[in-house]
Amino acid sequence: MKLDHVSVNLGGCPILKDISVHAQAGEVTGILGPNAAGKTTLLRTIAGLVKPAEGTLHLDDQNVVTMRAAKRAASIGFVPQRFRGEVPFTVRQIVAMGARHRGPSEARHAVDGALETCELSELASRPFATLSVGQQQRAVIARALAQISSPGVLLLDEPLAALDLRYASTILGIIRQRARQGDTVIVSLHDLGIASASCDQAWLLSDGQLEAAGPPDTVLSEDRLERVYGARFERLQRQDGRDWIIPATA
Amino acid sequence: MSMAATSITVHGPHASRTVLPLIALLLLAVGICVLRYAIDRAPGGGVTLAWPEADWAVFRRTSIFAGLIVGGGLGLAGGLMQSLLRNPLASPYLLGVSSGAGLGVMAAMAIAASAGMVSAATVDWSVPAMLGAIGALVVVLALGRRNGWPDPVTVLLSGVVVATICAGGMMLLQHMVPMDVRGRFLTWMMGTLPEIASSPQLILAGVVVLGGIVASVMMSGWLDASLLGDDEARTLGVPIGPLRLVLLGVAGMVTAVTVAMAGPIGFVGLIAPHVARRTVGHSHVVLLPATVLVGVVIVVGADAARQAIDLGSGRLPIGVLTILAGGPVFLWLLRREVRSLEA
Repeated sequence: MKLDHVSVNLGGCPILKDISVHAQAGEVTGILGPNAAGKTTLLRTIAGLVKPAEGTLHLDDQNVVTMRAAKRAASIGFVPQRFRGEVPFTVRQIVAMGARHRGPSEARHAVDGALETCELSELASRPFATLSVGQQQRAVIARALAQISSPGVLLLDEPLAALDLRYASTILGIIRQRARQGDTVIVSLHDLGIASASCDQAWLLSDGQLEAAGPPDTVLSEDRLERVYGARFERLQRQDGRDWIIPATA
Repeated sequence: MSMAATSITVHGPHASRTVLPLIALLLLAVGICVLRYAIDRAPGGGVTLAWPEADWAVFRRTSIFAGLIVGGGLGLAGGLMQSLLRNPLASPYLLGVSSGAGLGVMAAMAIAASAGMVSAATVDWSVPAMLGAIGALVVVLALGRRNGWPDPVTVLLSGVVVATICAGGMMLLQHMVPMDVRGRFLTWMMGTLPEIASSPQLILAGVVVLGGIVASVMMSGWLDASLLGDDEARTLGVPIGPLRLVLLGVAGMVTAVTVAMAGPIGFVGLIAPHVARRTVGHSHVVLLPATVLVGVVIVVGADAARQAIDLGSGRLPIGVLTILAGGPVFLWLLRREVRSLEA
């Protein structure tokens, strides 16, 4: 996924400014930055939901903006941060919506696999509206898994926000697994510690601009974080050598 | 289109919960049509059930065929409107179609009155009704756009305002025409299934409604996904803007055909989707055929009921029956829905 000088305006306001960056297949890329930095808009732009005012987005030499909707749906899965919880379908039906472009038996296989991966098999017949927000989040992730054919692009906007520790760990594992299968995984995160521990690449946004892109350890330098966030951070060393970044206490 | 056509329910583990009620609705609709064919009020006032004599059979068949078109059309249009606008209170008439048709008929009556033609009992008002309905539909869809495509809230607001403007126009014209013309117009507004109609008129209306049903069911998978929200639907490959434009156009055209044929018949398009949802669930591949069948049951059933009701003032207009019976039924459904959500 390659972005070339992408700028996005919403309601006349510039939200993303001249972003040029690319995400590699087989890697997990984290989009980081303070509130209103443009993380969600960047993900929505990559998903083809927002048309850039300038610049181009390419997936394997194909322009994402002009790509046929059905082709884009088979290649790019998007898990939004917020979704309608009051939809009148079961979990299985919700997940099956992601697999509608597949043949019946392939779709059933993809849906069963996604339900199992997200530990939702036992909830498959439950109405989506009766689930907790965390369970709904997993169902929406399962739908994206059933949707894209590897190698594809999996976009997740704050996927851990509603999840407890166990399921956060499960989803991080799924994300890593999809990257190993050859998918391009791009995930927006607020938790810099999780980002530095889980992502291969980091894009740091500030006020709609790309502040830095590269391996998390180099992108998330203390002086840069202090400048972008206007706050101080502490950097801890994990046993595996990776950094763990937490907000500094007063 | 193959993507849109894929069902998410009938292939699932609960097919019997949706298909069997759909078959039951089909049998009920057939039964109601048979009842309408047989029911009659004897000259003495009693209700009889018997196959009509050959001379009368053609009128009954015409009335039943019109009931199939009007009931099925209003049911379909109501189901489409409520899903496309994600609003359980949406009805086909929110597109301004009935008011537009009313304005068309009232304008035609005013012109005919000035030419001394309105007293003719055989005047067919379906053409001005159709023109008025399509005119209002085009205006609502043109004004209800956002980023080039119909937007639910903007369509609703545009529909309400266009309907109000048309109502104002109707009142102005009613004020200007003689009393007998006013009476004729009010009778038209109450809605009546025709017992006399030309074959081309019935066939054309039938083709429009049938085409609408087929097109809508083919897009049922997309309609399911559209309930998730615009962004999610688009990421699933649903062309949400064109889908809304096409299916609002279908709903509007189908409604225009029904209003041109029978006048505005209230509540059918509002209630039928609610009854259908409680019967077969929310998956559009079965929901839309179910709303069509419920619409047929309501309209043909009301037409059968009006044969049996004698208030000494002639047969009741069908629109009066559907509103007086449909209103309480809708309130009952609403209370059941609210109770099911209560802890």
